[in-house]
Amino acid sequence: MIAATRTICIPFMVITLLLAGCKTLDTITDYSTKALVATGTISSTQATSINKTVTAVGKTFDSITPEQEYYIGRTVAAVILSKNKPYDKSTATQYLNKLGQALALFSERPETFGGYHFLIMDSDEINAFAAPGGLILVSRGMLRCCQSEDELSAVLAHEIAHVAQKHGLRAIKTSRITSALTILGTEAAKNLAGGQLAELTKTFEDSITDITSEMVNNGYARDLEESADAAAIKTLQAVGYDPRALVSMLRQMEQRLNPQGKDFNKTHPKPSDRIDAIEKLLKNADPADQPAPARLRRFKDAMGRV
Amino acid sequence: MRDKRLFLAAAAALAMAVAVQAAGVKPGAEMSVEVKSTDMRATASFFGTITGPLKYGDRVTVLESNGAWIKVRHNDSKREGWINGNVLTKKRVVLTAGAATDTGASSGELAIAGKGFNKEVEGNFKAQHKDIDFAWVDRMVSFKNDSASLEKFVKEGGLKAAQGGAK
Repeated sequence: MIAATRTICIPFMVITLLLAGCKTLDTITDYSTKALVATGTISSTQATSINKTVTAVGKTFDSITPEQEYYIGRTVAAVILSKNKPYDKSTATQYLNKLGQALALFSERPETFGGYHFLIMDSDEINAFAAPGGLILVSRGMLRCCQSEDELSAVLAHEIAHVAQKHGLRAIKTSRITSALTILGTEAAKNLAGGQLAELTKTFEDSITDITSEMVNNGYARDLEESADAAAIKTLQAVGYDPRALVSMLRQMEQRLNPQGKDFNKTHPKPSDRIDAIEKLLKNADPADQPAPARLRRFKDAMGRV
Repeated sequence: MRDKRLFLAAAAALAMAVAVQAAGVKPGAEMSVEVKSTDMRATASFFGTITGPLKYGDRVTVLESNGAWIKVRHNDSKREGWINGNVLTKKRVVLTAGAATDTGASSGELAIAGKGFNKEVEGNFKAQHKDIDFAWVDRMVSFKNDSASLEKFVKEGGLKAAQGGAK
């Protein structure tokens, strides 16, 4: 849904423009296509077409189609899993997928190209990663912060929001997008020549690194985390879960976090800061109903040994 | 208390309606499916009875809209049903690069399926990074639950979304 993301990405675009030293994306593209024409790499017709494409398509991460987002997300997940062994227990995994996929239906973006899928990482560290397109990884350490299905829903709804709002894709540097568009040339281009495929793969690699650096090392900017919390609250309320479960889960997390840890602390704002922002949103929220016994039972059955 | 819920629901629906309107979704508009697959339903709900499948690149005609939900007719099968607007794009999704030149559409209006970061690029990446295993990713994408089993899960959990499920 292009229009929905446009309203979110405008402040991001402003930041990008400022960082680019007041040059617009159009100017940067124009400069690079001029250089390519001068060196005979592309024809002037192709240059015009590329400039038109970038202008028409405009925004950086917005110009990535859902299908491309899916392929980017696959590799991001594979890279993360190469460093984080999966927890191969089918009961817990199946439960997580049922819960997560049900929550996704009531999120801002219920359907991505390949859909939402969940996997547990076999680690005591408190961590969760939402790869673009909907591949969501949650550690055992994180799952242990959840004492109920409502609290687990809060975690998953937050990760789903990162996907829905394309926070991972936003990490991709503008230069990668421009590079990719330049390589792809006009819409009439057929299969890529060998050299072009190598270049595009390099751009792909760099994009993956942009994303994993942000997700694993730096963490998202605080406003994106707050945005994900706000969206998670909406999702929880739409389904019927207690939105305050997000607060109780964060309090659990706060108690369990290792202050020197490489995990959550490094990549997320302090739980107490997030709680303050969330409490404001929940000031006038209705009290939640008591959870059905079936809900309590199935959570224990699935998550008991995690 | 009920008013608050209604207000939140209305605000969310309004925001989505604005987004959908901004995308220019009017009756008669032609749009393309930009997700791998989805289903049209008899009602504007993920738990509604399925009236027909849609797949990547399918062309549909908008019949009416209700918040985030859009009633469409599938141009090929002529079947009708409701889908969530998040699966549609105004761009034409062209499935073979060769066909693109016939449409007369500008490059900004086209999304060539399978172009850019695609299976081929992933294959090339894999060849250059043999240490990165995609087996678990392939397994992950197979973890699927159909809407009937998700509806059952929601119902058994005593969750309010089981009633209606529309947004």
